[in-house]
Amino acid sequence: MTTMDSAHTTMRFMMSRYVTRFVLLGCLLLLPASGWAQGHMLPGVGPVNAAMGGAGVSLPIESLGALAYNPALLAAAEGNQLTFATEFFKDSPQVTTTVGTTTGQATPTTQFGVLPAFGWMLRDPKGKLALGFGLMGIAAFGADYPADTSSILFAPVPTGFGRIFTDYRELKIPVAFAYQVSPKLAIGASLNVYLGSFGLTPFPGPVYDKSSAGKVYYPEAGRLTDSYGMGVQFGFQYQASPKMSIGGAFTTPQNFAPFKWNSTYADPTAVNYGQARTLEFDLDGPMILSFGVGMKASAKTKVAIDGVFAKYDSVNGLGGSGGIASGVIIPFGWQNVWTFKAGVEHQATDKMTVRAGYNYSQTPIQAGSVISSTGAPVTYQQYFCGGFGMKMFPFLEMVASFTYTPRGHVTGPLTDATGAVRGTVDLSNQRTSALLGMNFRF
Amino acid sequence: MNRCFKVSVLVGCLACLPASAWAQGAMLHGIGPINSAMGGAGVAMPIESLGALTYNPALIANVEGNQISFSTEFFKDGIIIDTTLNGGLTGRATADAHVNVIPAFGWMLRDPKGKLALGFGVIGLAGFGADYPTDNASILFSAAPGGFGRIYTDYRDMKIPVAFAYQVTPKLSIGASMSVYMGSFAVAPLPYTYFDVDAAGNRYYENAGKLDNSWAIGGQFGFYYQANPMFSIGASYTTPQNFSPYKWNSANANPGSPSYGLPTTITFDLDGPAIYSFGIGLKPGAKTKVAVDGMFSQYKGIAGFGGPGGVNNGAVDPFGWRSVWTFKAGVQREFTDKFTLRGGYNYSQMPIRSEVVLSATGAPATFQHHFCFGFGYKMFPFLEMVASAYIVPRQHLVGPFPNLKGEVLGTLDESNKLSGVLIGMNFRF
Repeated sequence: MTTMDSAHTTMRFMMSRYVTRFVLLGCLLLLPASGWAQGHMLPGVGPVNAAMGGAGVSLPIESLGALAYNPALLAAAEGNQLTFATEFFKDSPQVTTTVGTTTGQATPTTQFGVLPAFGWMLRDPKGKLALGFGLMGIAAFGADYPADTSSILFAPVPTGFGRIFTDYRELKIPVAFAYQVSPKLAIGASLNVYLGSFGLTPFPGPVYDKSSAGKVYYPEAGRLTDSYGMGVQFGFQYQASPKMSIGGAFTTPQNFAPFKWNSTYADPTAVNYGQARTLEFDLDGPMILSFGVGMKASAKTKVAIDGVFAKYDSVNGLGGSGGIASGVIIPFGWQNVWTFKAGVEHQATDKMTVRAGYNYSQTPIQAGSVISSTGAPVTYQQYFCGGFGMKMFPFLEMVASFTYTPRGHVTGPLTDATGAVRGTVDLSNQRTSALLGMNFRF
Repeated sequence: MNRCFKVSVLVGCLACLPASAWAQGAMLHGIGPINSAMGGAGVAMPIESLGALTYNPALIANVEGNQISFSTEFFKDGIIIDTTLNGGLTGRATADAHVNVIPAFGWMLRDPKGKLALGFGVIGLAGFGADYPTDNASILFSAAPGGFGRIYTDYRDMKIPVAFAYQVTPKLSIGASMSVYMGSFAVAPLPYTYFDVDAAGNRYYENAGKLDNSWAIGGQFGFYYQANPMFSIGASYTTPQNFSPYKWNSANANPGSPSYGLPTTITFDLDGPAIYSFGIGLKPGAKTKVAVDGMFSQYKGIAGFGGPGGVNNGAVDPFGWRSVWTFKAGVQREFTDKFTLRGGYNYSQMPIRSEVVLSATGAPATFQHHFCFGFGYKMFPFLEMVASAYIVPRQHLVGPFPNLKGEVLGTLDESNKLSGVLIGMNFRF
C-alpha cells in the first residue's frame, strides 16, 4: 500500500495543474455498449446503483451512479474512485393479436445482451473541485421477429410487415465537474457526448413504396448506423443534516444528428425495385428531471428515494404522434413517464455490504398507438433488485447485483391502414439481468 | 453480360463480406497504444497489461502491484475492387468508409511478495464492415439480379481473458488464460449458399442483416524466461476459437416467387485460428527495450476463414484463407523520466490466396506492411497517457475472375489500405 499512498499524495499535489489535459484526453476514450431499459433508459447503471433500484440522486456511493444521475455527487469522492461493470441481460417480448375469436402470438428471437460501463471520479480531499469521467450504456431497445404466415403483423409483405428487426444502442460519455460550495452544499455539471447506433428492417416510417395494386412496401435500414449527440447535466446535493440529504439533477434533451442509411426501393413489382435510395430518421433523447432524498438511518444503513421525470413527448422520433396516419405507421408515439425509485444499503460486516431496491416506472407506450412500439416493446414497469459487495482488499470491492422485471403488458387497438379497428394488440415483455463489477478506491 | 457471367460475378464476390479493418489475417496487428506502437511485438517483453493479455499471459507475472490500461483505437480502411473482363471491360467498386472504434481494457495485478499474478481484460481483437449502395454502373453492386445490389457487412470480435501467471523461479514464469470470445456478425445480403432462384435462373441472396452474437471459449498458454538482465525469450499458444454458428432469421428473397418473404433461417460458421507466438526481448541500455517476435496463425482448416475457397459445385466458398506468418519488431526508448517514444514494424503474409481471391472479396485483408509509432507521457507517478498511430499502405492482390463453371472470365484486383490512431491511459499503483 506504500506505493498507493505515495501515488495518492502526489495526485493531490499535482491534480490541479494537470486537470485540464487529463480530462480532455480522457474523454477521447470509448467503449461500446448495448442494452435494454425502462422507457428506453436503463433502470440503474452499474451493480451498486442497479441493486438499489437506480435510486441515489442525493446519496453518493460510487462513480457510475453519480455520473449517470447527478454530477454534484462527485464532490463526495476522496481521492480516486473507479468502477468497472458489466451487465448481462435477456428480455422476452411477446406480441398477441386478437381479431374476433382468432388469436395469434409472435415471439421474437432473443439473445443475451452485454452492457459495459466505466466510471471514474476524483477529488483532492483538501480541495473543493472534483472531476469525473465515464463511459456507460444508458439506453437501448431491440427485437428480432421472424416472418410468420400465421401472424397478422408478421405475415410476409404486403400482407404484414414480414421479417422485422430493430437494434438501438446508446452510450453516454460524460465529463463532469463538481464544486463544494459549502460544507453542506455541492453543485455539479457534466458535458455529455452521446453515441447512438440504430438499425431496423423494414423501416415502417413515412418513406415507403406503393404498388399499382395499392400495397405498401417499407424499405430496409438494417445496418447499425452511428450518430452523435451532445447534452448537459446539472445537479446539486445538499446535506441538510448528518442523517438527511436532498439532491436534484436536470439533463437536457439529447439532440442526435439524424441517422442515415443506404437503402433501396422496396416494391418488388416496380421497375425500380432494388435501386438506390437513402433514408434518414431523427431519433433524439428526452429531457430528464431527477430529485431525491438520502437518509442514513444508522452508521451502517443508507436509504435513497428518488423521483424521475422523462419528457418523451415531442422528442424527435420517440415523441412523435404514433399510430397510423395517412395509411402508414408512425413509429413510437411515446408519452412522458414518471419513475419512482427506492433503495437501501446495509453494511452487514466490515467486508460485506448488501443492497436492495425497487423501481416503478410508467411505460412510455400509449395504448392507443401500441402498434407503433412493436419494435421497441418497453412495457416494463416494476423492477425488483438486489445485490451485494465484498471488500477483497482495502482498495477493492467486488460488487454484484440482480434485477428481475416481471412481464408488463400494454393492450391497444389493432388498426388497419385506413385506421379501422380490426381487433386488439397486446404487447408484453419481461427482463432479467445480472451485473458484475469492481469498485476501486485509492 | 450473359446470365452465367452475372451469376458468377455475384457469387464470385462471395459473401461480399466487404471491407476489412483487419490488420493481419483476422486480428489487429497490435492491441493498445503501447503494443501497437511497437508493431505488436512483445511476447517476451513485459510492458503493460493489454499486450500481455493478448499475446502471452506469462508476462503478467512481471507486474508489481496493479497495472490497468484503457485504450481506444480509431481506424479507417479504403477498399477498392477492380474487375477486368477478358474483353477489356473494367469496373470499380469503392466501399463507403466509416471511422470505426475498437476499445480495450486490461488489468493485471500481483502481490510483490507473492508468486501468483492475475489478469483480466476486455479486448477488441478485430472488426470489419462495409456499406455499399446499389450502383447500376458497377459490375458487382448493380441492383439484383444483375448484381448484389445494396450490401453491407459488420463484424466485431472481442476477447475477455481471465489470466493467471506463476513465477516458477526468479528467471522463469509461466501463465495461462481462459478467454471468452464474443463475435457479432451481420451481412445483407449473404451471397453464399442461401439463395432463391427465379424461373430464368437468376439468384436472389437472402438477408442476414441483424447483428447476431456468437460465443466461444479458448485457452492460451505461455512462458517467459529472463535469461539475463539484457535478454529474455517467451512464447505462447492460443487454441482455436470455436464459435457457435451465427444464426439469423431471414426470408425468401425472390420477388417474383409466391414464397417471397416467407421465413427462412440462415446459419454461418466463422471460427478463429490457432496462434503460435514466440519472441525475444533485448535491453541494450537502461532506457531502451527491443522486442522481436514471430507469429503463426493457422487459418487453414478453420470453419469459415479456412474453407477451400473458390468455386465448388457451382457456388463460391467464402474466404479460403491460408495460414500466415507474421514478423514483428518494436523498440521503446525512455527519453526523460516522463517521456517515452516507441516505434515498430510489422510484416504479415496475406491470408488471401490469389487463385481464390474471388472468395475473399468481402474481406479483403490485403494488409502486409504496418509502420507504427507512438509515445507515452507520465502525467503523475501512477498515470501515463499513451498514444500511437500506424499506417498500412495500399496492397493489391490480383487473381482470376471465374464464373460458376470455373471458366476464367477476367481478373479481379482487390486492394485495401488502413490507418489508425490509438489513445489510452496506463495506470500503475
